[in-house]
Amino acid sequence: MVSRFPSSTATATTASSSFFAFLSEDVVLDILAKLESDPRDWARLACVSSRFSSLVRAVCFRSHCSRYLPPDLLPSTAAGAVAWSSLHKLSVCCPGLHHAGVLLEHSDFGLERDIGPHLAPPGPSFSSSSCSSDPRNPPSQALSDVSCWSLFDDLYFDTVYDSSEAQDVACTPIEPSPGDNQPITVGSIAPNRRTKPWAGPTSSHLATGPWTLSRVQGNKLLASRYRNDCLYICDWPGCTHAGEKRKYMLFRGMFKNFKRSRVWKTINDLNKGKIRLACAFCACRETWDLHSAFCLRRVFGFHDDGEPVVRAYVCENGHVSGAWTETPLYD
Amino acid sequence: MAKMIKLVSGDGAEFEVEEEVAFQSKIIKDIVADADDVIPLPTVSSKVLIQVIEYCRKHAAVNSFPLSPSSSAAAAASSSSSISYSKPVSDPALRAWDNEFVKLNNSSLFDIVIAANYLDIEELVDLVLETVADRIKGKQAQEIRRQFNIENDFTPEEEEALRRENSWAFQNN
Repeated sequence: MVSRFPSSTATATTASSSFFAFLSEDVVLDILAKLESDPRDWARLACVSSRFSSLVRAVCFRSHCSRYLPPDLLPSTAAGAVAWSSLHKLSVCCPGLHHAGVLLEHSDFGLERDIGPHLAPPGPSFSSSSCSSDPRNPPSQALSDVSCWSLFDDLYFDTVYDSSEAQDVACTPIEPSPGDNQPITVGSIAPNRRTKPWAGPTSSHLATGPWTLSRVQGNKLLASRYRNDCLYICDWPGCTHAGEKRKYMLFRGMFKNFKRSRVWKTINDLNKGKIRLACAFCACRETWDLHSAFCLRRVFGFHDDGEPVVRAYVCENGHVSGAWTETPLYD
Repeated sequence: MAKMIKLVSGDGAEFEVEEEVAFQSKIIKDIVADADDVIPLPTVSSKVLIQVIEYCRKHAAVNSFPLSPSSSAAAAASSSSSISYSKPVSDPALRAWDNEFVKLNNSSLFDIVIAANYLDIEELVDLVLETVADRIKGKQAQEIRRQFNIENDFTPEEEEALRRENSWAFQNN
């Protein structure tokens, strides 16, 4: 056996000052290898000191990812510690209700998040152009000033109330009060109209279930025109969180080469805005809603209260967090 | 009568041990094959050598008298060959004894693992490393630092970034 220890005798007093100081890296790694069964131990160790942080991220996380994740998702050997850290987290960490978007307001089909910032009404003609009693919906006239027209504008105009359709109905226009010119904060977590009691944590936590991801699951999530995109989703069964009305089966995943995917192209073509929902797996503070970008299979639809059957959010690095509300349509 | 080997610690104390006990150490087994039966161990103190000999004596005794009465062939084979394996100890009584043996403070454990490595006693090295790992399991970063006297050498910004990245791991189920 090659000596992995210092050749000189380390005295007891020296050792007590720092147990690990005199141990070589491969001995420390032997100890770390014995902690593999619970990923939280490695993650906590990474917070202890810079030596542990670099060993855990560059060696432990890397060996775990090489073992559990598809080779497609592994970065080049020159990848930094942060890349391995993100991937390891993707493998073992459930995004939680927060990052899976379950806590976002959904009763308006997500339109509030997608329509864009409230644009100030042009002038006195505003009061006659819309009978909308909901101050959140921007006036139609203001929307025509928006140079970029998105799918959601069509959706909006299909649903907004038009006073010309109901001439005999008395409709009192609502004058905007001075405070209404505040821009709508788009993409923030809207205040819950109903408080939802959640059992357990809503933030990210150690996932129950396998640490592997597979493309088969990803294919079943995406609309058929995205069949050539490589989306890997965690294998089932995963974390289930019980809500007030229904259960949420949370999932996590990643696109291979996201910036070359068709989903990415769609998001760009739609000029889709991001929402202020941070990614669970990297430093991205904003993500795109795949459901409202029509990237998910159309068949999934909505519940009666407007909640989507499945939701998914993707960040710029291709990390995906989401939740099912029914048994997934696969084994 | 069993052949005796004399081990001399760094501080000059002499310990006579049975050959099969001393042969738990691969190094000693190799040295004895070539030279005489007095083995100086200048880097190992008496205190640590006593503990290592105690471990070797216990494990040699168990290896010589396996639990299963039907494996007399196995017993014969093991007593004549070198006794060294890295697979985990399967005898529950021996495991319990090992667990008692390693109820030591960190500095004693450190001394033992240094000596065990020097003497190439693989099972003892593994036992100590396993014990250290057990002292890390389930602990938060601050507790680990305290337990092993590790300095927190992060800047506040680095620490905050790591905390955000790893906060998912801070709960114990």
